[in-house]
Amino acid sequence: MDFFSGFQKIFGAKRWLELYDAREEVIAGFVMTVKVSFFSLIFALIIGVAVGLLMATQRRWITRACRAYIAFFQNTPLVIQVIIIYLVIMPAMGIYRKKVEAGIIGLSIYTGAYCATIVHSAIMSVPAGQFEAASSQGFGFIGSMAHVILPQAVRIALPPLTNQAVNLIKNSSVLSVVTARDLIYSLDSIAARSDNYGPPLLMTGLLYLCICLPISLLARRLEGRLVRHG
Amino acid sequence: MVELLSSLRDTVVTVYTPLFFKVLGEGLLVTLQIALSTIAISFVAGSALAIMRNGKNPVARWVATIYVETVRNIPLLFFITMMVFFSPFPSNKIFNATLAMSIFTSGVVAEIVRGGLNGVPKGQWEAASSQGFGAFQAMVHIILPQAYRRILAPMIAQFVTTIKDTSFCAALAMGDLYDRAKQAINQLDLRDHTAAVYVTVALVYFLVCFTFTNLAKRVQRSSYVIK
Repeated sequence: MDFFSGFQKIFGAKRWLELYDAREEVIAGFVMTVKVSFFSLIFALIIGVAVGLLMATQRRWITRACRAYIAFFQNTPLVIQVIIIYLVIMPAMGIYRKKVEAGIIGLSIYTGAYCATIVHSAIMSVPAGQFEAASSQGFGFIGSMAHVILPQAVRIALPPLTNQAVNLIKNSSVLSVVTARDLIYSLDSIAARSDNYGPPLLMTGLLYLCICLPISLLARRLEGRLVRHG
Repeated sequence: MVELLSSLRDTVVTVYTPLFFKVLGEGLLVTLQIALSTIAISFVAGSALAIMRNGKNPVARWVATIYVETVRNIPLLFFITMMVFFSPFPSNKIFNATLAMSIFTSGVVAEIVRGGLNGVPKGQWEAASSQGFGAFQAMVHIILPQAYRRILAPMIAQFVTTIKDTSFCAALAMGDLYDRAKQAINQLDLRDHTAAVYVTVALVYFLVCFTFTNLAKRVQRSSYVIK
C-alpha cells in the first residue's frame, strides 16, 4: 500500500496532467536540442573535413597544429570547454550571456576534433596509388582530393560520422550545465517548480531516444553495408 | 606590455597558492576514484550484457539488446538527473555519481566487449568443444581472454571518456575536479581570476587524459593486441 501511494504521488494521473500543462516548455526544450545539435553538426563536419584535409597535405607544421588541436579537444571535458568559452573567451571579446552560442561553439569544436580523426583516417585508408594516379592525370592536390580521394573516403567515414552525430546530440545536454533551456533543462525546471519529476523524466528520456535511436540504427546499417560490400 | 606582465604575475601569485593545489588535488582524486569504479563496474556489467546479447537465450538477448540500445541513445546527464530524484541513498553523492555513470557506461562497454567477442574466430569455439570444454568453460577460459586482449586499447580510451564525463556530474556536487574548482573560486575568493582557474583545471584534465590516450595508442600498436 505504501509503495502504491508512493507510486501514485510520483506517477499518478495528476502528475501526467501537470506535465501536459507544461508541454510548451518541453516542446521548446526539444526544439532547442534539435536546433543546437543540427547547427553544431554542420559546423563540426566542416571543421572535421577541413582539418582532415589539412592533415592530408603532410606539411609538417600544418599536421602538427592539427594534431595539437585534436589532442587538446579530445582530452579535455566538453563541460570545461563550454565553461571556458562562456565565462572566459566570450566575455574577453565583449560578448556576454550568450549561452546557446557558447554551447554551439563548444559542441562544434569538440565534435570537430573527433570528425577530423575520422576523416583523416578515411583519407589515409584510400590506397596511395589513387592519389598518384590522379596526379599523373594532371589533378592538383585539391582536384585529386575533391574528385578522386574524398568520394572514396566518404563511404568509409560515413558510419563513424553517423555515430558522432548521436554522441553530439547526447552531448548537447551540456547546454543545461550553463543553464540554457534545452530538453534536460526543461525537465529540471518543471521538477524544481512543481516537485513533479516522474513523468517529465520519462518523457525526456523518450524524446532523446526518438532523436538518437533512428540515427544509431542508420549508423549500424551503414556499417553493415560497408562490411558486406567492402 | 609591462602592465600585462604585472597583471599576469598578480594572477599567478593570487591563484597558485598551496591551498588551491590541495583543493584541485583532492578533486582530481575524487574524479579518478569515480572514473575507476565506474569503469570496473561497467567492465563486469558490460561483459555480462555482451555475452547475453550474443547468446542463444532469446529472453536474455532481448533484455541485453533493449538495455544497451536504450542507454546508448540517452545522454549521461539524464541518468545523473535520475539519481538526483530517485537515488536510494540521496546523501551519498559519490555513490550516486558512480551509479549513474555505471548505468550509462556499461552500455558503451557492452558494445566494446561484443566487438571483441565477435573478433574471436569461430574455430576457437570448435577447438574448445573438441577438447571437451562446455559452453561456459569455453567462454571463460578460451574466448573471453582473447576478446579482452583485443579490447584493451578501446577500454583505456573509454576510461579517458569516463574521466571527462565526470564533469557532467556538476548537479550532484560530489567534490570532483570541476566541482572543487567552482568551490575554489567562491571560497578562496578568486572571482576575478576565473579564467586562470578554469584553464588550470582544463590543463589538469588534459595531462591525465592525454597520458592514458597515449597509453591506449601504445597498447594498440604493441604486439600484445591481436590484430
